[in-house]
Amino acid sequence: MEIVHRGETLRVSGLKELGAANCNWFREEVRAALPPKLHAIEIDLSETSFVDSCGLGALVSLHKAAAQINGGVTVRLLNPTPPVQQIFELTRMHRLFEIVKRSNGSPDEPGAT
Amino acid sequence: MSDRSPRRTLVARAEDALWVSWPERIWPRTPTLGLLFSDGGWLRRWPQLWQVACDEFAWVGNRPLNPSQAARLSSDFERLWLAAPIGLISLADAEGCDEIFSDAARAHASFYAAGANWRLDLAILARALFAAVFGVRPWQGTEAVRASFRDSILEQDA
Repeated sequence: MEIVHRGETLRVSGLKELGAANCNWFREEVRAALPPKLHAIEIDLSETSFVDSCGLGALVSLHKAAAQINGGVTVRLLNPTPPVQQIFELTRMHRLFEIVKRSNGSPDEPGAT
Repeated sequence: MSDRSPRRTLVARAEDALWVSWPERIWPRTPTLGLLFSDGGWLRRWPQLWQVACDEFAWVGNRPLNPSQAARLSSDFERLWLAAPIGLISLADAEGCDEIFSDAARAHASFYAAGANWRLDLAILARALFAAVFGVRPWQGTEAVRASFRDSILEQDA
């Protein structure tokens, strides 16, 4: 997993999966990297093949931790794979987070939301 | 969603209904004998078993909430908790989630409500029973459990 600061945006990428085996580690690593001035968190899920309930809990927990730093912080989930997107929709998480899908030919550029 | 709607989704006093000391109940320190006779033993759960026998609780479902706890569910994601019936054993228990009303517990409840089917119920029941008998959680992160959860979601969608 790679965590990069871009100004007031924290970007997390390289997650292969987000489940019981690594959700605590993910949550603690990202929490520890949260900057004092935070505008947005972007979590790239383009390589993530599996998310379970533990992973969902970690995302929600992270969202709340970020909101304590800045109430207006946006958490974006970038380019989720179809199975992961499906889980977000079934659990209504797409209403809680901003989900940014891949646009044609530009993997990192936000397309439709 | 589950089709077991006649069963309860709320109780008046959730603390009495089940699990103030649920983690101790589901993970007894004394293997096998503890399953039946210790403070955490399953025989101590006869009131809940009775609720299952009366078909008010399911074997597998979400943890019970009282009305004030239910009122604290603030988003559609969290309110999914109420879309599944109360069960004797929950996904949160199978995952070893000790806190009754934490973010993780809410996520487990929503995930279960969204993807509940007999295969997921079976996986939860098997994990909880294994943990109760042997005192450890089995198969965490293994492909078998992942597949059962993943398949349950995909089947639900299909």
